[in-house]
Parts: sequence; C-alpha cells; structure tokens
Amino acid sequence: MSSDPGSLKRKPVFYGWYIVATCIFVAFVTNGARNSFGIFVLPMSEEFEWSRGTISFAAALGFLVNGVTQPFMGQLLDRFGGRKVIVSSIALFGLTTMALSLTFHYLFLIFVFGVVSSIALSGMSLNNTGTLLSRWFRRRRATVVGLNASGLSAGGLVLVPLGMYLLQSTNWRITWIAFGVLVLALSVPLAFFFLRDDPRDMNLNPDGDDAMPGASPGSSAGRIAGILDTDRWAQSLRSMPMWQMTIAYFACGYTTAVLSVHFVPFADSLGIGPQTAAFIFALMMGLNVAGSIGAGILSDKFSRKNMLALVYFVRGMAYMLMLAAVEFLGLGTPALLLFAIVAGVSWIATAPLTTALIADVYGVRALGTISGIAFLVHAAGSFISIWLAGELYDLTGSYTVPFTIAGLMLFPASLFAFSIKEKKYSSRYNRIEPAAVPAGGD
Amino acid sequence: MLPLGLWLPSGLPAGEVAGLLLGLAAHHDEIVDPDFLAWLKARLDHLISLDPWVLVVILTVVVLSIPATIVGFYVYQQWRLRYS
Repeated sequence: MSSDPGSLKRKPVFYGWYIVATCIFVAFVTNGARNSFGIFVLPMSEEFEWSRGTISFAAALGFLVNGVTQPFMGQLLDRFGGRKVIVSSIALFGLTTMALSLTFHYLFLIFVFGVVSSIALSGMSLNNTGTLLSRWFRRRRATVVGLNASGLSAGGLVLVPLGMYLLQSTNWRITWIAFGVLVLALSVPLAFFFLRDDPRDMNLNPDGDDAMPGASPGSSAGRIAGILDTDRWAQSLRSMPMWQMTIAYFACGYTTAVLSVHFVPFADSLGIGPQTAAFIFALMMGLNVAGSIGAGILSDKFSRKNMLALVYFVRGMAYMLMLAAVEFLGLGTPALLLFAIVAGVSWIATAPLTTALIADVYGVRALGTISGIAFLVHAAGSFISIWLAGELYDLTGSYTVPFTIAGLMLFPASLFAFSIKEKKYSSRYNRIEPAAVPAGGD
Repeated sequence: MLPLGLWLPSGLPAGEVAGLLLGLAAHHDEIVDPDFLAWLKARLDHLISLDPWVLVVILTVVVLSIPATIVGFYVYQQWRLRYS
C-alpha cells in the first residue's frame, strides 16, 4: 500500500465489493421470491382444488433437487466461470418464476418449480456465489461469504410481505409475473454488468492488495496456495480435512432441519401456542443474520476451525440446556427463548466458515464442486433428521430422544472441526512458492 | 395427487411431512410455512393500517433502491476517478 496520502485518497473502492453487493442483491431477490412460495399455497390450492400435500410436494421435491444438483452446478462454475453460470441461472430462474403464472396442472407446477427452478437456484446458490467471492477475497473471505448469506434472510423479510400485499391487491398469477420481472429486470443486468470471474481478469489481486514483491498485479505469480491446493475435486476426498468438514456439516444439516421442521409441534407438546412458537422461531432466524456476519468477521481474524468448532459447541450446548430446562425444570417458553437466542447466532454461521475453510485448504480452482459436495452432505443430514425425528416421535411419544440425538451429534462435530490441522493445510498459514503451484486454471 | 406415500418414509403422513418441509425456509433458502405467513399477515395488518397498494409501492421502492444505490455508487466512483 502506498504511503503517499494523495494516492490513498484517490484509491478507488476495490472492485470485489461490487461483486459482494451484487451477490447479496441476487440472493436477496431470488431467495425472497423462492421463500414466497408459501403465500401461493392457499390461493393455488383453492383454485385448482389441490390438497396441501400435493402443492407442498413441489416444494419438497425442489429441496431435494436443489441439494442433489449443487455439486454439478459447482462443477459448471469451476469449468465455465462464475459470471456465465450465475447470470444464466438467474435468467432461467426469472423465466421459470414468470412461467409459474401459467400453471394449469400440478405436474406443470412440480416440473417448473420443483425441477427447473430448483436447478436454476443451485446455479446461483450460496455455494456458487461463495465460490466466486472466495476468488475475490482471501483475507476477508469468511466476512464476505457471511454477508452474502445474510442476503438470503433479508430477501424473505422484504419480498415475502411484498408478495403478500401484491397477492391481496391482485391475484397469484400477476404476483408470480411481478416476481419474475423483478428477477429479470434487476438481478440479471446487475449481475451481467458487475460479476467478473477472477480479480486477475482486471489486473487486480484478492482483497485489492498490492502485488507480491516481484510479481505484477493480477499475475498468477502472486498466488497463495496451501499444500492440498487442487484443481481436481476428487483429490479432496483423499484428505482428512474434507471428511472432517463434511461429517461436521452433516451434523449441521441434521440439527438445523430437525428443529426447522419439528419446532412448532415440539412447542405445541410443551403447551406453547403456535403464535408464540412462530415468534420464537422468527427471533432465532433474525439472530442468524448477526451470527453469520459476526462469525465470518471473527474467523477472518482468528482461527477458522476453532470458530467453526465453537459454533457447533454453542449449538450443542443450546440443545442440551433447552432439553434440561424442559425435562428437569419444567420450563416451556423461557427454555425455548433461551435456546432461540443461543442457537440463533450459530444457525447459518457454519456456512461461511465451512466455505472459507474449504477455499483456504483446497484453493479456489475446484471450490465450486468441493463445496457443492459439502452442501449435498448437509442436505442429506437434513433429510435423515426429518425422517428419523418423526419415527422416534412415533415410537416414544415425545421429541426428547430425537432432540437429544441432535444435541449430542454436535459435540463430535465440534471435535471434528477442532481437530482439522488448519495450520498445516490452510493457505492462510502455509504458502507454496509460486513456481511449485500447478498453473491449471491460471 | 401423486402417490407421496410411496417415497416418503413410513410412519409419517405424507402431506404433513411435505407441508413441514415448507418450514425449512430461513436456513435452506427454501419455502416459508403458509400458516406462519397467515399469522404474520394478520399481525402486519393489525400493526399497519395502510392500503395494500401503498405497501406494495413502498416495498418495491425498497427493492429498487438497492441496485440503484450500487450502480449510483459505481458511477460516482468512476466519475471521481476520471476527474480527480
């Protein structure tokens, strides 16, 4: 960095921040529109005389398709670059959103929403935008991925009420068209104009740093890589950190989904009304924005694996304290409120930490695919937890056993994260000399 | 209706499971539960007594202001670089 105050004054904002802002807005609009599906359930099921199960099947299938396609869309990003994949996915998502206004049969809804739209959503998922951002940022990697994740929650806060009032003023077909227009008219041009695959394309370095001594700005000579840096995703499966992170991520998926799905019935079993339960759950979701950004900032300053281990440990303690308060002290609402506050800050904090840690260890050349595999394992944990909790509830007549399993899973997950040899493998602590780094993708 | 029971695990009513999956919203960028939305709408209607169209306009302006701010800031930066 120059020591000349005049040049400091003239230094422009690092272009990577435009990429961050664009990715946040894309997440904001697209996930807001996607989250809003719930407002269409009643009017569409009334018009077509569908049961809720039928219309909800499209949503359930969409969740499955979204999870399964993450590694494939990540691989497309690794191969063709973030700009092409993300812009194409947004355009496809906008078109399918508008197409939903033409729904005439439940198979149409299932195909358009559950399959095509879900694949498009994978293309611009947190996984893919996080991969793009990881190429633009190294020192502030988790911070920007955390900021990006916050766009998901913010979108629901604005787009869902917008959809509700538009639906009240018009009808569900016009509301779908309006959402599609918002995506196509705002997100597509913004992403097309601002997104760039790599800072080196603009003669820049990650974080806007000056070039390393002896290297010109934007050249591959300044690249920093850990000893496991790879351009082949399969190689990551032959090393311990990938298994440690994904096994822990499985526990993350398990422990978040089981509560998302069974929270209201659990509260009901404690004699807490659905409105209070919904408020407590909403409080927890609000806190996850602060948790995601906060964990990202802290992990950019301190050890990422320790922060990840801490997040799992805090969530595990929240589970155990809640169960203890319910079982031994007979507390209802206070126990759930305490849980919402403690667990809320850890809810999506694992996503930026895991993405950033994968990028630090394996580099960014196959990050889309590797990170996509981790997301897929996370989704698998979610599905298994939903099924198992239901089975165990039927067997035991309470949520104590499934929630205890969830809480106990988080302590080994914390240990898995804590035992990652970050100082050995992460590019934050180990740099390979530029000549020793394979030039693939540069 | 599709035979949901064929692929969903036994012991759980298919419609209930599929409906509950809607609740995955905030963590998995999926769908917000319709019952929660109905409750939220009732609360908002109680708190804000404005015409729905007014709220649509306000919220649309909020959405539009974000890309406008990004583009405006970029244009300002370019202008400042060129003329400073």
